[in-house]
Amino acid sequence: MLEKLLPFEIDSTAFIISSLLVAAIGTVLLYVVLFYLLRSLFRGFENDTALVTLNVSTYPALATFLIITLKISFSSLIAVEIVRGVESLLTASLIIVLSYWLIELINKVIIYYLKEYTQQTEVMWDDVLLPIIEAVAPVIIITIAGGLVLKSFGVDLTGIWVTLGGATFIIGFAVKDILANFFSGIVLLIDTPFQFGDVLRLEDGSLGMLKKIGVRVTQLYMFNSHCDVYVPNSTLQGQNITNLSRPTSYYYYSTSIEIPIEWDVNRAKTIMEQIVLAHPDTLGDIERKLEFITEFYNDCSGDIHAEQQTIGETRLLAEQEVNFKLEEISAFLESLVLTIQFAEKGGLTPEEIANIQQEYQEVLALIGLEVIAENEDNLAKASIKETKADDNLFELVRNWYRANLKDPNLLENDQLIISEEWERKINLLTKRVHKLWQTISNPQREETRLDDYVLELIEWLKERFKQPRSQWQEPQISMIGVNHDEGYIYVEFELNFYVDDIKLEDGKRGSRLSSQIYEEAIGHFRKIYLNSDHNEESKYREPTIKKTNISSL
Amino acid sequence: MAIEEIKGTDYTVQYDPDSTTVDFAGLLSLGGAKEYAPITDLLNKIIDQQPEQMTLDLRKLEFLNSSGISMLSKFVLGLRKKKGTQLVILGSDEMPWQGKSLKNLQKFLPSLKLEIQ
Repeated sequence: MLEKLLPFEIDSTAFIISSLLVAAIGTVLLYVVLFYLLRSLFRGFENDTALVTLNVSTYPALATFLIITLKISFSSLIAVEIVRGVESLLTASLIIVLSYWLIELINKVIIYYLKEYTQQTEVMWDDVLLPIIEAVAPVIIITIAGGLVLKSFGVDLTGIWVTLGGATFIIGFAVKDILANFFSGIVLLIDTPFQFGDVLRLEDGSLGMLKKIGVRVTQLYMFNSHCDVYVPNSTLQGQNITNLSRPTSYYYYSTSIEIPIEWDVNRAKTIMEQIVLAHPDTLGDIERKLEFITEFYNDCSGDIHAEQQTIGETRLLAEQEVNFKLEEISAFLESLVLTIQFAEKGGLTPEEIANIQQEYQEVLALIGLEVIAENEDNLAKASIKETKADDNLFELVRNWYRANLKDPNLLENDQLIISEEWERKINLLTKRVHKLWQTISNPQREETRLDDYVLELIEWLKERFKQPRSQWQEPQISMIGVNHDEGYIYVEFELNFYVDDIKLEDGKRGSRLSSQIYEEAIGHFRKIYLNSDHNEESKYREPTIKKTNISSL
Repeated sequence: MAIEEIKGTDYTVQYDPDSTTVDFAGLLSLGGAKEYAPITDLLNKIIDQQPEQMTLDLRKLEFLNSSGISMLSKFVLGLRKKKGTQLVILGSDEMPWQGKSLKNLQKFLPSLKLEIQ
């Protein structure tokens, strides 16, 4: 091409110098465009994808341009041995630059943005697949590039491929354990018996939080030893693992207390029930909990207990409001299901779609979202944004979790766990309702499925967003037997209750709570029985925790 | 007590306090929750008095649009918290819209007594 543009004879010195000059001018022009024009333009964008792509691409693009121009110049020169060598060198350089460019683009642009995306999704496999791609893609690119570079210098690779093919069997045999772990990891991901952040109890009884399922090993953070444990995927797959975070992060705890038989057993049982209920971190009917919360754990003035109870009351009230709002939203959604089931017979008319949209918008308002439509005719493409109203689900959830953050027993890390968890749930709910809005606004062939989609959302709210408080979560105090000791008879009680979140306080929330309940029970029994007119001191025996079972339902 | 009535061009909604029965008749196709508000208010007023039983007689209601079913379902689902009142809905097989829709309603309020004639 250059030979047509330049007024010099091919192979002449003037031709070579002028073509090199063209390459230099072109490179400078490209440099100006990339560094000054495009960069200042991309800096104005809200999303930094274009800017990062430009930064990553500038030097490789300049190098590629320069090499291609030089290649064209040299290809015009006729059969000089030294020129052929230079040409091979240029081809190899071009392959290296392009491979480097591709690797940079994959690592700094594609993987980076995919990571952001995978953090927002509910599924786990993409979180794991991405690091694998991140690790494997450069190796593949470098291998292919290496082969091509050798080929450009005239090296025949057929022999290498044949040898590699023959060696596959030996390599496969040597890495069979790694492959077993790799495929176990894949099975664990597809099967998804647990998610990142779930608390697992291993066969040896130790508790750990799942941090990462890798290509070969799974990383668990052990609460007791405060260290990470790496379990090979195949070992983990072969174990019976209890997932304490599923279906809820509630944590079942059991403690036993013995009291002398002379005491009023029924009264003692009632007190123990009230003490368990009065603790803000146990589960139970919120109204009943609020009834007792100020009556207990307030003996030591200035102690952490008093603060815990005051903050506990605030957050229980906040949680109650969230529960009420969720009930209201569920009822509205159920009503929407009925409307859709009614309307879908014979197909949805525009009037019925408008009515369903209106009803759904009422639900969105309760959640704390509104539809922002630029074009009234195409509501399916409308965006959904958070409103600024106070009395919506999102605001109530935020009030609640902020009240939770004030809990004096929480560790610093818990603050992050709680806020991240809830903001993630808010984000997921927004995405779900947005998707449903798009389907509702433009049902097309899915009009008979709309009711199922709404039912799915109701289910998701109950299962994944926040499980409503149920009767099975109420504390239970039961008399389990009578024991004899040194001539005295003691009645043994079992206190069964649920702790609100297993992940908090490094997995030790249950032990702390159990200890506080135990202390409070002893304090009350001391007050009631040791200060009474009857001299029962001699019969009093410190109630002891005979067993502390932890298990999850 | 006097009978209360809400009347439109194509429909009548009558409340008989003695039998705590609301009779729906005609064609109900009002536009949206706002236009249904008088009927919703009437139903809520009745339920606020906590009667032992409340009957909605839909046998003569020939047509109900989707906004109407939305109003009805919201009212019925609101009763889940008011366990003191037994809700009875009378329907008719002759009205094509009633059969399946009313049965769907029962799925969300199992205590609903549905009598389809």
